[in-house]
Parts: sequence; C-alpha cells; structure tokens
Amino acid sequence: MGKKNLSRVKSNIVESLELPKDIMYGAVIITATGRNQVLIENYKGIIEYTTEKVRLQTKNCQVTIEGKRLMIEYYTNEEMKITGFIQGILYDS
Amino acid sequence: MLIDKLKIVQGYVKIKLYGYAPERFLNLCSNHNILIWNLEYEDENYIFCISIKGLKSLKPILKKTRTTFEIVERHGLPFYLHRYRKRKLFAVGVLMCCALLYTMSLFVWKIEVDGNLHRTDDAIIKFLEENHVYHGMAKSKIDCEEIEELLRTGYDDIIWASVKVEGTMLVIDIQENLSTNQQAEEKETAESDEGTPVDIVADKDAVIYSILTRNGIPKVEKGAEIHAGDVLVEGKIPVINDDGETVSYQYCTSDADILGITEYPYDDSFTMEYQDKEFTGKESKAYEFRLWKTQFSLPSLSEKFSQYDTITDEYDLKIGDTFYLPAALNRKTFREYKMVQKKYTKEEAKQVAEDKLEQFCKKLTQKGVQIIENNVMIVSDGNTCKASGSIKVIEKIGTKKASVISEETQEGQITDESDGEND
Repeated sequence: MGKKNLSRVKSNIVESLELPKDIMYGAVIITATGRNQVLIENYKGIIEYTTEKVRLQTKNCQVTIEGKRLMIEYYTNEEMKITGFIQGILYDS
Repeated sequence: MLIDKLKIVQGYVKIKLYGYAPERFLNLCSNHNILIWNLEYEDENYIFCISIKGLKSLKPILKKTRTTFEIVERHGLPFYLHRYRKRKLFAVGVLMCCALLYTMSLFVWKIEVDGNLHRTDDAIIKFLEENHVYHGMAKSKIDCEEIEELLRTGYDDIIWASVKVEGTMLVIDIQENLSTNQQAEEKETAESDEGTPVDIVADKDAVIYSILTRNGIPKVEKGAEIHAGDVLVEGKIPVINDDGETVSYQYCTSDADILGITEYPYDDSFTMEYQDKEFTGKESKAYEFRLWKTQFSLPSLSEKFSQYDTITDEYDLKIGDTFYLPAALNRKTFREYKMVQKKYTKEEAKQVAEDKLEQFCKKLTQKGVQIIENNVMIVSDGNTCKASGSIKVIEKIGTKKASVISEETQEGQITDESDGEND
C-alpha cells in the first residue's frame, strides 16, 4: 500500500513538474531507425546475444530484439547500437 | 571520424572470446568502462574490437567469468611501429620530413590578393616586392599592420586594407574606391578653374539639343548648328551702363549643361571568306614541375603538332587549405587545330555585321550618349559585306577653355570701383 502511494506521488510530481521521464523512472529509450538500426539507452545489461536475438535487462523489464545477422556496433554503460535486419522488438517482464 | 582516428593512433585488436559466461564478461566490460565495438556472434564465439589499453585491464574479468580470448587481428599505430622498429633510416626520414615541413612553414609561399577590381594581382604583388614583401620571406619578418599602411599610402584609391597570415599564405584584402578617383579629378579641374575666366567651346560639329547655363552668357540657342571651336558659353559678362553702353567686363567660370545632336559615321566591311580554327580533337599533355622559380620538364611522349593551342593548368602543392609549399605541378594541354577557309552565307554575314554594329552602339552608350537614330545599311554581295551609314546620338558637348581677356579688363575693373564710389 505504502509503496503504491509513493509511486503515485512520484508520478504526480514528475507529471506536474514536466520532468524528463527517462531520468525519473529510469525508463528504457529505444530508437529504431528504419529496419536496420536500433539505439537502446538506459539499459542495465546484456542477458543473451546471438546473431538472431539480443536480450537486454532494463530497470523494469527485459527487451528482446529479434532479427537476422544482428551485430552490436558499440555499447557503453548507457547506450548500445544494434545493426542488422530487425524483425521485432519485444518487451517481457 | 575523429574517434576512428584516435582508435588507430592508440591501436586496437580484434579478439575472439569464448568460455563459461561470455555475456557476464560483456556486462562487466561496460561496468568497467571498457569500450567494445563491432561485437559479433559467430559459432558460440564473440568477436569484437577492443583498444590495447582495454585489453590490458581484462585479466581480472577473464578470471571472474572463466573465459579466454584469442587475438585475431591487430590494427593501429603501435603495431606498425613495432613491426618496423628495425628500420632506422625510415624513422630518420620521417623525422627529416617533419623538420622540413616545419622549416617550410616558417616562410610565406603564396600571396593572395582579394577585392581588387582596378589593380591587377600582379601589379600589387610587384609593388609589394619593391617594398620587400615577397614570396619566400620569413613569416616572422612580416608586420601586417605595416603592409596595410604601405598599401594605403602607396595607392590613393585603396581605402581599406587588411593583411593576415594564414598558414604559409599571405592574404591581402583590399577595398578600392573607383568613384573617388573620378571625383578627385573633377575636383582638381574645378579647383584649377577657380578664379580664372573660362569659356565653353564646342569640341565637334553638332546641333544644339538643349542648353542650360548656370554661369556665363550663352552664345547659342536650341536648334543652332555649331562647328568645332565655336564658343558656346562665354565667361565674359559685359557690364552695361544706363546708356546701354558696355563699360567693362566681368569674368567668370562658365558652367553649363549642353546636349547636342551629333552624327557618328559608321563604316565597316569585311570579306565573306575567312579563316577559322577547327580543332581536330587530338590532344596531348606534358607535365612540368616547378620548384621555387625553376621549371623542370618531365619527359613526355606527347605528339608534336604544327598548329596548336596551349592550355596550362598550375596546381600548387599544399597541405590542408593554407599550407602552400614552394612547388607546383603544371599540366600543359596541347590542342591541335587546323586553319580552315570558310565563307559566310548571306544570312551569316548579315548577322556578323549586325553584331559588330551592336557592339559599336554599346560602346557609344557606355560613354553616356543616347542613340536616337541608326541609319546603317548592311549590303552583302558575293565577296564582301559592307555596313555603312551614320548613327545619330545626343551627347554632352563642350570643353572648357580659358577665355581671352581683353585689354580693358584692368580699366574696366577700376571703373567698376569708381562707379561704386560715385554712387
């Protein structure tokens, strides 16, 4: 109950002060450019990586990028760029 | 782009990673801020690029995740240096090259002049050379402000100058004032006229179209026919007493706008046959190398033509945009042509004659005259094309000429004064 209230207060503050949501919630940002490039920010770690599938851990959920010939162009603590033939972006908690 | 170059300078390796928990290895790398790029998955191996610095700090991570790696490829400067470590002369050459470049960069190898419309580049560069600013002088000896001063004092019509050194190039920006030149001239003549009596005299035969006198006595009227040498406006103003007699003369500088209708004869003829260059399309090239002021011809296998045009392109050797070196490559292109006898058709001949006439008229209008009638006939027979006739224009006429001062002047002036006293 207390946790729920706290999160509601937080979301109210964020909404009313128009604070950037990605920073406040630590939400993942996925930018897909065409079919060949995806930029993922605010991720926590790599769980699985093969040429067909990249599974990433974010703060609230797991994100799976599916495709063919997937390649990680670079990755740092904050962001990761995946290139290849993208077939799907899936969220599972 | 810059990051790519930095990677090459620092050196990086492509490695193949395998073992117990490679995903954990990747996460640990990002946590330790070790950059990994071009990560690929192939047959249960991870292949990626990592900098040398990153590679050296991998040991604890490898141990923790129980993985091992193999180096697949090595890239970058550190590996090159290691590979060629025994080539001492090469290193000496590189050093000497650097030293040479540095010494070359201490001199000015190109002078660029911008903004000059009236003066040519060559004239200005020659002027600078006379004043000890030349190609190949040391940059440290250049005092930009002094050169600016020099240009402004050396040329009256340069009203603004800016000099700067960019790389091995001396850039001179100037601003010319062409109108002041004319104004100054006009002022000069006006000043010289001051005080001396001046008439306006016709400089050519004409019919007066309009006359507007500001100073002096007009001697002609609108529509009058005048001949060269006629006085149009006189600077001698008679002073008339009550009896209607001229007692004396006062002198002034005549000033008037006089427009006259004049005729320009136009006569032009040319033969219908003419010679024309016809390019055969054959070209040959020769190259030359210029170091300072000496030219070296490079041997060429080009054909020799009997009649040809030469086009020379000069390419200055430079590093970047502004670092010019005292060397240039010249390319000479020879284009062969043949002289061919040709004959105009009647229409062509007429067109050529008309074009010539048009140019003539254009030249006239540029002088500031107005063309009112164009009576030119173009006749072409078998061998020649003739254009003759006259062009009627309205133009400014009259030149200033010192008036003849009659003997009485002195007396007149004296009587003038005495008259005043009498009054």
